[in-house]
Amino acid sequence: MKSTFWLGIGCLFAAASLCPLHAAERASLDHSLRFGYALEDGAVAIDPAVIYVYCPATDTLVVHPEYLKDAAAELAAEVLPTGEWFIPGGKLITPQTAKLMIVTASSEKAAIRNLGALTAVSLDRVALAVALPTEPGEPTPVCQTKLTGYKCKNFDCSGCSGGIQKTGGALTYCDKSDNPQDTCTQTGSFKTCIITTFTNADCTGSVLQSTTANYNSCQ
Amino acid sequence: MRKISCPLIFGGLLLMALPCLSAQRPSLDNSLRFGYALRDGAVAIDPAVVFVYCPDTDTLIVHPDFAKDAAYDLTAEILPSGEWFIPGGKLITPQVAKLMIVTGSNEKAALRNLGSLEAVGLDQVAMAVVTEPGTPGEPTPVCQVKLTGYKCQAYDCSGCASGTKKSGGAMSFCTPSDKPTDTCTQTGSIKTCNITQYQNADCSGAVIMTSATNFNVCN
Repeated sequence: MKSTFWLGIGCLFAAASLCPLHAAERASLDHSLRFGYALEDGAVAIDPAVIYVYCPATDTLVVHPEYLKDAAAELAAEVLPTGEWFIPGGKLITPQTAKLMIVTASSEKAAIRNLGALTAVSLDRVALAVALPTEPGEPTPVCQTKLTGYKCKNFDCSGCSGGIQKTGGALTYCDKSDNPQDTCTQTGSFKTCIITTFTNADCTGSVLQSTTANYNSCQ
Repeated sequence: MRKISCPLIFGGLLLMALPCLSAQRPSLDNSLRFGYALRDGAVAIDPAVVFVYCPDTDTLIVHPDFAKDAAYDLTAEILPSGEWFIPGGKLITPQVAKLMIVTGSNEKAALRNLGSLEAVGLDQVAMAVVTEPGTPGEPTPVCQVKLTGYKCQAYDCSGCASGTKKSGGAMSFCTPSDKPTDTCTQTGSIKTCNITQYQNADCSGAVIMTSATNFNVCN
């Protein structure tokens, strides 16, 4: 009797799992590749800080229209008469030029600064791109992202202080800068910093908490 | 002193870790069943999709082989400009799919509905999802999705049986059908079925477990 009941409950959940439910999600630019496509017409939309995003694994090259030359120079790309870019390593890619800028409450200042000829669009009207492995367990494709208004900052993930032990070594990450002219290029290579809190100040005793943070290295 | 400062330092470290990128595994089921190719922004659809229509974002995605059916279902008038006039005053240019998103679990449907579309992997697509509205408190946008190879199934979320009480009333959801020509249209209207497990078979006594399942109503 009891097993029949749990079977019933199980079936109920199994039936419910068949429904393609649309759970509303809070979109976040930070967890994306900082670009996406407008739901209205598929136009390319970028984060206000983006100069370009280049993902060789998916042949993706997204560029802010006012930084085309800079992007080509930095990627050592030869711009062909067809509009395609020949990128060293044998890649022939047609860049996707942004038409929209994704404006959120926290990016308004940067958006005003970098809007140029782009049109503002809100995050809920965009399908955001994220980096994903081809198969679970495989490495996540590497994307190179150049940002304006950011600077590359060093972070020392080592040592023990006040019971907190950091392990991972020397790291870098793009940090917001007061100078809008500053630029920072995320290489797409991730380094991990493990932060462990111990009961004793000299990082001995029991582990109270442990957390792992991935840093997108920059140059 | 240390007891206060340690969590602060720790919190600071976590904040510094924010510019990290965490890859999320996408799922067609939790998406709007379409997206854009990262390579060139081409529209990519789930093999079951006939059309996706989201009035709030002026989004209309159509499988090229079902364009006439979609226009008929939406009682749209196709103008010489290519725009569709949809009752209610909407004038939308449909985005015609060029790619079909093929996964391990939908290969059969993909083969059946591929037509002139090209196959693409899920990891090569920026998937569109229903996101929370830009302004908190506003309703979540409603999207109408017509699927082929699915049928609309009724579900009675009411009554008490073996200590399980269901409340929510009559529901429906799209479920895969053995008949590929069956169709099912999700209206975008979500109904919630609350399931409560009681201690006693007559749904009295202490509550052991409670759960809420959202159903995307169909017709």
